Amino acid sequence: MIELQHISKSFGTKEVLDDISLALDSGTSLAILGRSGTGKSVLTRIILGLITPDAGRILIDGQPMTRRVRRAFLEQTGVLFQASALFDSLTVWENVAFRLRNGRARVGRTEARERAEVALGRVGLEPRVADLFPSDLSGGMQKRVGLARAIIGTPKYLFFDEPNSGLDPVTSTDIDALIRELVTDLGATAITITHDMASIRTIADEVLLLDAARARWHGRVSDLASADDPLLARFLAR
Amino acid sequence: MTRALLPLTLLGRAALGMLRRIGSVTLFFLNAVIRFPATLRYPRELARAFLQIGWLSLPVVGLTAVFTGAALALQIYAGGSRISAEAVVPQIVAIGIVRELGPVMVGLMIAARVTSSIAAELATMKVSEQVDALTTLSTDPMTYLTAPRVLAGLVTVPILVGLGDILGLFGGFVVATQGLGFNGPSYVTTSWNFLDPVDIVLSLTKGAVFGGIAVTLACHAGLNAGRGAQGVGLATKSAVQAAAILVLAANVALTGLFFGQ
Ligand SMILES: Nc1ncnc2c1ncn2[C@@H]1O[C@H](COP(=O)(O)OP(=O)(O)O)[C@@H](O)[C@H]1O
Ligand SMILES: [Mg+2]
Repeated sequence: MIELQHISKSFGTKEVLDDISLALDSGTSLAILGRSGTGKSVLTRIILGLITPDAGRILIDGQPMTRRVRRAFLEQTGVLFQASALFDSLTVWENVAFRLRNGRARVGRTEARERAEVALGRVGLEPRVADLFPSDLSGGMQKRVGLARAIIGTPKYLFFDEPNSGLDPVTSTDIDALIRELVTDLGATAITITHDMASIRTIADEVLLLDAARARWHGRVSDLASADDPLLARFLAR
Repeated sequence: MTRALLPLTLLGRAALGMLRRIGSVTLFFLNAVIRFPATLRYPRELARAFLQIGWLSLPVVGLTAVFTGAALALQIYAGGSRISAEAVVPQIVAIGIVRELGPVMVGLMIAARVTSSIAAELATMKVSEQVDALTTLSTDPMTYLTAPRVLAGLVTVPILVGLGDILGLFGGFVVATQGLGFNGPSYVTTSWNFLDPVDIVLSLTKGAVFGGIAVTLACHAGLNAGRGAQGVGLATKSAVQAAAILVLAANVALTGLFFGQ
């Protein structure tokens, strides 16, 4: 379970998040929705410990996020960054297998490569891309490599920052199905930032709408239709 | 009244900012050093750092040294002839290169070549979230990115300085024997006998210090880069500037330490 208690964050005079609280049960998939620049990425970066909040705290399974808790948390966490964030100096398969090769387990080269190719297959990439460098790939392919890197090693927590942006509709639908499958099969807890309502219906159990630094609406996907929030209605109308 | 004090306030603020930066860079350096044992887990990153900082710097360092030694020999000869002291060329070139110009030229070349490329590389990684990606993949960026580079700087730059010294002496030797009428074998013996072991120790020490400065500032600026392409440019510029100035300042300090009264 991931719990956020009264999280606030400003950059200079700009207030990005104001008193956000949230509890996400294990095995639940949350979609974060909101206009660009409303702090969706910042919120996930705070949970990952990449940005320190000005106020508030985060608990994982009831434990405050100390250094030790965070280390254990990150070891079971896969992240797809908004801009993919692949390592330029490593090949595709080395990127995907990074955790296996450099993490605690220290998986051997041959096995790591095999597992990387399996992960690439799950995101619809052929083994022949394995030896290319990220700069050889299109933005959409980089995104899928990032996704493969996030899901390798069966993580318990998954973070996807705009997994569908820049993808064609077919791949996008496949990726949504994959995310749903991971959450269902692994029982993973997932947080996905997306603008796509079709995606949300596939992948999410709950929706959080961020607006003007506040959590404007939080509820179950099944309750979306009956919600009477004008901004939410505009997102739904798309 | 307050307006009259404004320049002073600005000066004070700049001085405080500088002190804060020196403090934070020093701490950053120590943080890299304590990770040297841990960084051995990443042999590939280490190899890349040694290649980037040491091996690939050889051509530029070598050429700079040869030309500097050659020009120095010409100058000493021309200057010496005014007081009928042309014969001191081998001795002055020897200490000039080994104590000062060898390490300083190498230090400045490293500041230009290595500091800029490391700062730009790490800043790009920072702004494109690759550094954050490392963290979420349970890999400490200081151990994976900074420690190998700082270690390589401390080890390879003294070696580069040693080679630069030799090539600088060689540049002076060529000019002196081919253009200025010096006898080859006796030029070499005179130079060699004039050099003291402490000169060589100083030279290599300067190399290690300059290497440490150039690489540490580069990594510090890169990992603290602001956002966007502008952040990369700014980080690179400020790292190169600071490295060049600090190399020259450290050079004075080290010379004073070894030969000051
Ligand atoms: N490191 C940072 N420094 C300063 N401002 C930031 C930083 N990160 C994000 N911001 C600002 O915070 C706001 C929210 O950003 P972000 O969370 O990326 O938006 P989005 O909801 O589109 O993901 C934006 O205005 C952005 O400019
Ligand atoms: Mg974002």
